[in-house]
Amino acid sequence: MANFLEQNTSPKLTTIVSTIALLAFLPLLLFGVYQAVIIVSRATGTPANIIVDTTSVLEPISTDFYHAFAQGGEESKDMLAPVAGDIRALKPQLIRLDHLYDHYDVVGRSGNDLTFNFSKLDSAVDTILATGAKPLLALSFMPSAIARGGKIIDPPNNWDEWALVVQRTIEHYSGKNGKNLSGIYYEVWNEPDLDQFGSWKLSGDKNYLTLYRYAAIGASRAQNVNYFLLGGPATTGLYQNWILALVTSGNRLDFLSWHSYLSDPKRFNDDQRNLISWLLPYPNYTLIPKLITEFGFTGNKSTGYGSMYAAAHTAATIRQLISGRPTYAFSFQPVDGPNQGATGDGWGLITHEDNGKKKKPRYFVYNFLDSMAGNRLALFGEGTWVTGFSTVRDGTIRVMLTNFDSGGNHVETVPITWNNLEPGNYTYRERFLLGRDVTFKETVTNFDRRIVRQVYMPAQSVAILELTRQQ
Amino acid sequence: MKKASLLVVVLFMLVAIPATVFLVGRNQELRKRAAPATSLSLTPSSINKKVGDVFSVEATIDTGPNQVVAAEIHLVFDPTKLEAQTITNGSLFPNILASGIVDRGTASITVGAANAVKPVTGAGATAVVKFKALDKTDAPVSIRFAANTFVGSLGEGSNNVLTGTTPASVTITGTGGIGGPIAPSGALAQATPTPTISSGQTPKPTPTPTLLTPTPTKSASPSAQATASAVLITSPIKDASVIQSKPTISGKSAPGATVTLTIYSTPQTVVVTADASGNWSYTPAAPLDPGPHNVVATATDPTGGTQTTTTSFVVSPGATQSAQPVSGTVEITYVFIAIAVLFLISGAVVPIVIR
Repeated sequence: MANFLEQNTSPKLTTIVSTIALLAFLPLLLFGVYQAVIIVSRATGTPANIIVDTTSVLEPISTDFYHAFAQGGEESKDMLAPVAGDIRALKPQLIRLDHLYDHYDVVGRSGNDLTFNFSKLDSAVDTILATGAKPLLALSFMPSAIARGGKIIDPPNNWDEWALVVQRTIEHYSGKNGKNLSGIYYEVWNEPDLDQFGSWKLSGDKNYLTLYRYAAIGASRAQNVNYFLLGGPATTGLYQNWILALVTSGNRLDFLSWHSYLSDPKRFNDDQRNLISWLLPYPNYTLIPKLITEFGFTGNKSTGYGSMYAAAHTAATIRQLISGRPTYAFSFQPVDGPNQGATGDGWGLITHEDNGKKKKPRYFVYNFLDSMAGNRLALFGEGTWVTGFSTVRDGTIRVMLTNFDSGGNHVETVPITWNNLEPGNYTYRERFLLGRDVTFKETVTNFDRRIVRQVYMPAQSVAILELTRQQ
Repeated sequence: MKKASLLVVVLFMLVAIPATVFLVGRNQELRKRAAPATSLSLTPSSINKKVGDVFSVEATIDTGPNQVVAAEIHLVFDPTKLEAQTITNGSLFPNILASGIVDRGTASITVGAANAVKPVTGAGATAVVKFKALDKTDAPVSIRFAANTFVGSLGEGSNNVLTGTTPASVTITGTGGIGGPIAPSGALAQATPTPTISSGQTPKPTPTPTLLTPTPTKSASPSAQATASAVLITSPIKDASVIQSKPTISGKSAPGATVTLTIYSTPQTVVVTADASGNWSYTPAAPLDPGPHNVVATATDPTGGTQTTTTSFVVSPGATQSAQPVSGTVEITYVFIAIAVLFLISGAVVPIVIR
């Protein structure tokens, strides 16, 4: 091209065309190099070689902690009502609601006094109760009736009015003369560190600790109430300075909460370790409940939330939290907001009612994993992509495997060995989430006392393998 | 009459104030004495196994008068002789706060009481570890608690209430072959022969001739009694506010003792050696975040027993890395001066030459 240009155009034009070509192709070159690095690094992972020691029985496994869900506020109405039956089938323990004070018209003003009307919020709470869950109420955002300049992400004109709002909310839902609910979690604000929700800091004019302190004052003034919990900081991630600032603030603190949007499931485990190491020097707080009040693989809307990708990510995350876990991990969110497109790109487990209330693959993973309840068995040989855990209950040995590849379409045939089995005939069942369900017969001899199988794990798949000895 | 009443009040105050101060001080002293009474030991303390045997060891706590809420257990052992297969919580601690990790020569787990209302008191198992005997030993090898093992208790703030640990001594004999016995569930230190899995399928460590951690050469006393603290942190003093983000931590211990320091809340662990006078010090390589920090110092004696002490301090916001202002390195300054001179010369000479 250079020769052609040189022969047919002026040197100046050649220079200009060459410069434009260079500028156009440089990003492509960089992109190509970036992709090559990803492919090379992906290829360097470790394949799984799963070995289960069936005699090595460890601690009991809880399957309750992931039956928690957080609904966002894409509409200022009771978004769960149209799908309440489907949500109930998820056996939710807790459902989180935010936007209490900007979507449900709770707080008004009459002269110098505040007025409270919980009827609209009550409808949403009643829907949650009807699903069998308890509500977790995120005390957000600032009611415009008391907010400085009416802005819902700003401090109030009078902090005592914020305290009063919190007091009345607690009295309404936890009060013996109110809804009379017990064990309700009240979380102070939602993602205070995010610009969208106020960009609160730990000092200065928009100090989250002040916001929290007056919420705690309001909580302390609540009269004739059942047991409830007050906590925070509900930040966009697990941040040491926010956690320790709250722990050392001297305010009432019944639980800690944060959000986790992490594509690498192993980082959920890292977070648990970090949090415990930060809290060990504070024995009064080491054991308080810890809630991941929103989690997912990204905080952005993504087609991944409508595919097996999200289901595999959830299973892989639960595997990371199965031992040394938070009190609850809330999947965000039960139902899409409106206008998410035909594929349902929103965060929901179920598409919006305008889009057919279709259940996405992630919806099915929670109950699927429940069969893993039991005592954990020692499992070795997890890989980079295929991870899992094993349990035993009522004589049936189960292994949950998930192949989650955060960046691609890795497939793997996984060898799996069950060691130290009692000799006899076994039923081997292999079932995949939204996939095949097959059963085989296996015989274990006294010679080797083991079963070996190969399991093909497609990309973004979840499987449970069951071994039951026939009587 | 008024004067008499006033006199009585003044006299009462004069007696009451010193008496109150004395009684409070005594209570604090009693509390102080009660705090360092928690100990950890490994049971059985003496184990005889054959190569290939699998056996369990319990990390047992005696809380003493403390109300323990959590225990961060770190065990170290010779990876050429032993392989840790699993670690889980013991019966006294129903809560796994941080999942167990087994690695070459180490095993760790953090366990907690059911909740702060029901802290753990008394004696019992904190953790259960399953080991496999890999190779025969010429002399007994130890499984011991690492220096960063931590026990937190209500009412003791950030103090590590653990002051004494007792290791286990393991003797491995015979040629049981690779693999071999697997202990039945729940059994302690009892081996039941079972067939092995084929080579290449068992995750096995690669033996190396070098130990990662010191290993005692003789078996330690099985006594689980806590000993008096033999390590002292002299600086920073407790609850001090320091203006350097890299404060020097110093203290005293037995001359030549190995002292392991763990700094929280950004955990970092280093090992320092006391000089002939027993003095040791350490300055963090990286600045510490502003806010509260805790230091756990553990001196290890030749039998693998440990003595621990803690302190806490606060790094002030806006702390500097050093008390001395940093002005840069002289070498880089020389380079910049040389480049500047070259530019100066070229700027003066080139126009002359061109002209």
